[in-house]
Amino acid sequence: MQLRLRCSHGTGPVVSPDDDFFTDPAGLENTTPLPLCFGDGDDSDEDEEEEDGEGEEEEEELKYLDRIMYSWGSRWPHSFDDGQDGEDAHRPYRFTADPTLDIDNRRVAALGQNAAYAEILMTRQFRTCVFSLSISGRFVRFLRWDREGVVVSQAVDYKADLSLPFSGPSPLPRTRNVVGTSPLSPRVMQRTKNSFVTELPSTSWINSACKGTTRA
Amino acid sequence: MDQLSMQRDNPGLIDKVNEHYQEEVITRLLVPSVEREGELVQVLVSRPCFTSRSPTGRSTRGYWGVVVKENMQESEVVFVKDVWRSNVEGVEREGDILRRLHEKGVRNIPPLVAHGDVTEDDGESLCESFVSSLTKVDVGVAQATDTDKLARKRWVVSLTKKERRKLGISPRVHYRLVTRKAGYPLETFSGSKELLEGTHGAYLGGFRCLSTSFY
Repeated sequence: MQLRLRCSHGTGPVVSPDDDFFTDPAGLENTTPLPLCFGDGDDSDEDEEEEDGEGEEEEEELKYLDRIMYSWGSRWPHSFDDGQDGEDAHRPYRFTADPTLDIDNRRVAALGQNAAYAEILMTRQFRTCVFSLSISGRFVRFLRWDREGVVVSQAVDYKADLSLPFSGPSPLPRTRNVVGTSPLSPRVMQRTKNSFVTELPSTSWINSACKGTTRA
Repeated sequence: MDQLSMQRDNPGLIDKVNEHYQEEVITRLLVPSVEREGELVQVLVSRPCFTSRSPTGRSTRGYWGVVVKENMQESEVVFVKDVWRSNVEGVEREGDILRRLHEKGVRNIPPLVAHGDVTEDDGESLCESFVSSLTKVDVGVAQATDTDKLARKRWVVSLTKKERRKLGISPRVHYRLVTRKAGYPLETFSGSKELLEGTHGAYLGGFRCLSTSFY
């Protein structure tokens, strides 16, 4: 998926298709190996350090994130909300420091589900990365998971932003030279099956997927 | 020999094979050879004998693989380790360490067959002409993580300098190591003699690695 989102920071999401997208939809001439890039299209700021000066509140927020993300650890570079309280009620991933809020719990659950799917894909297949979408009402977030962490985009109102470009998936994320999928080792299989099925009762497809590997 | 007669002659053999082979699932890996520089070794793997459950980190997979030689007649069983190695300065590749230890004459360590980073096209361009030529060509950039690069972008919010350090995000590169000995886990030993001999050999190997001043 060769897709460039331009999300301006602080003034709400502005999404516009990159020029490359129309001239080169398959991204064949694009030299960067990055299949999906969330950014302002300006790579010159790559090593720019952000200034210190964020408050206590931000600190709290990050700690909470650390706690809920059991599997991806604390590896969370995130482009979370732009802080427009009131408007973000529909948006996933607006975590606050208070874990007792019901809306937060639901968001955590949604994110956890996404993480579980990405985890299964990366365990069972050779992949350099996994993309997923998190949709809540009119808002969508793009997630890109790889072996070092996950990058989350801002929430994009897909009804308002009809210019949101989509294209077919490129073969990049998946390693080639593969016949069939990579099965789990017999020892891990049983444990994996048990843990996932008990953690996520609603995802019956995981169960059937695991069953598929046990024929021996 | 068909499967039935194989089972009759070697009871348990099918089970042993099935630990490492799932029907109709075979992956071909092309890894840069150590013995013959500039060439690739073709390894066929099926079911890993070890899979890391953590989605992040090295994501180690261990396989018993079969190296198929160019003449398609000979083959040997090898051990393939598939990891996402940390790609920071000062961290050496496992294969390079093994190689140096061999050069220093350390024994009781596995012989190195092949090792190298996995490239984006993973030897795809060699597919058609595989049997006739296993010569290594320039196969492009290695498969690497991007999160470490993206984490430094300006649009990443909620991160102060301190928090960024705490995230501990480092680049990783997909890497494969092929060694000549494929063994069973220690807990499958058949008796105290085998256990003691095995651990003694491992101890000697580790001791010699440490005592050899190879730096």
